[in-house]
Amino acid sequence: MVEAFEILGHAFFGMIAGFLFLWAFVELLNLNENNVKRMQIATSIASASGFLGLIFGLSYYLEEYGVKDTGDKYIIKGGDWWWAHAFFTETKEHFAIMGFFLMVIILLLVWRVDLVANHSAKKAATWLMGTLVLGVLILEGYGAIMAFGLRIGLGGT
Amino acid sequence: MSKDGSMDSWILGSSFAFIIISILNPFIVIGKEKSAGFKDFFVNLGKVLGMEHHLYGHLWFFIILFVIFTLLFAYTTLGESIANALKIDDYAKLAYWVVGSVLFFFVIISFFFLLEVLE
Repeated sequence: MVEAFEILGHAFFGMIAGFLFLWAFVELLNLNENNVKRMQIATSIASASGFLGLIFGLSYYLEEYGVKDTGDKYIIKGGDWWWAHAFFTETKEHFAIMGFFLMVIILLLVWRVDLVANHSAKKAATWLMGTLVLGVLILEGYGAIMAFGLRIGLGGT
Repeated sequence: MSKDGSMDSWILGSSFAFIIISILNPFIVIGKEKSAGFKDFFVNLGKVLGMEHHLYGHLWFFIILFVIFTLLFAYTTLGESIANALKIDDYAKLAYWVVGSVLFFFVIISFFFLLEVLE
């Protein structure tokens, strides 16, 4: 039950972060005095959600996934899709940590700089927001491959 | 603001900290995987911080590095000196470097773990 809560929380908050970063990205493409507040709020909630997604993911990894011999990690490694851990989980860990720092930069950028007046800063925020959207999509995809790896490891097809 | 007022010093500092960590991260990972001593370092760091799992070691190590580099670049002229040397005079050029470092990190770390799988 706790495992389901952690993994669903991880996927849920990650997805919410992705949608809200996409929302903020679209707002940035047509930024003006009327929607700047909305973009800032969307970015802040997205970052908070992304942070929660990381916490849930970390908790799941430590409490369930990586438990010696019985954790999901060992089930995946024992199955035909063993590389779902060896490549996708391993890289996902590091992408997620870097995503945390990228969220700090984007928060500083949207709250500390007048993006409506400063076109260079707006362009920077758009690029970083786009990178975060793409990053969340990659992380979600990697998570799905890990889930398939677990299913295969449990004898499913 | 930064000393010449063109960019916010916190954004400049955190961006440079991010770029450095992006470049260091894959090599630290490679070092950890290839060297028992390096791995012990991460595990011990986690234990020092009251956390047993190496993932906490990773997380704290990078958070500590990020904070130190951000403060270093934000409170000294080092960040601006590097920005001048790299001809980074506005936010857009800074963002290109950040996105470039993400790509570098992505490619190197994927390549490393792919090699591990193929071995």
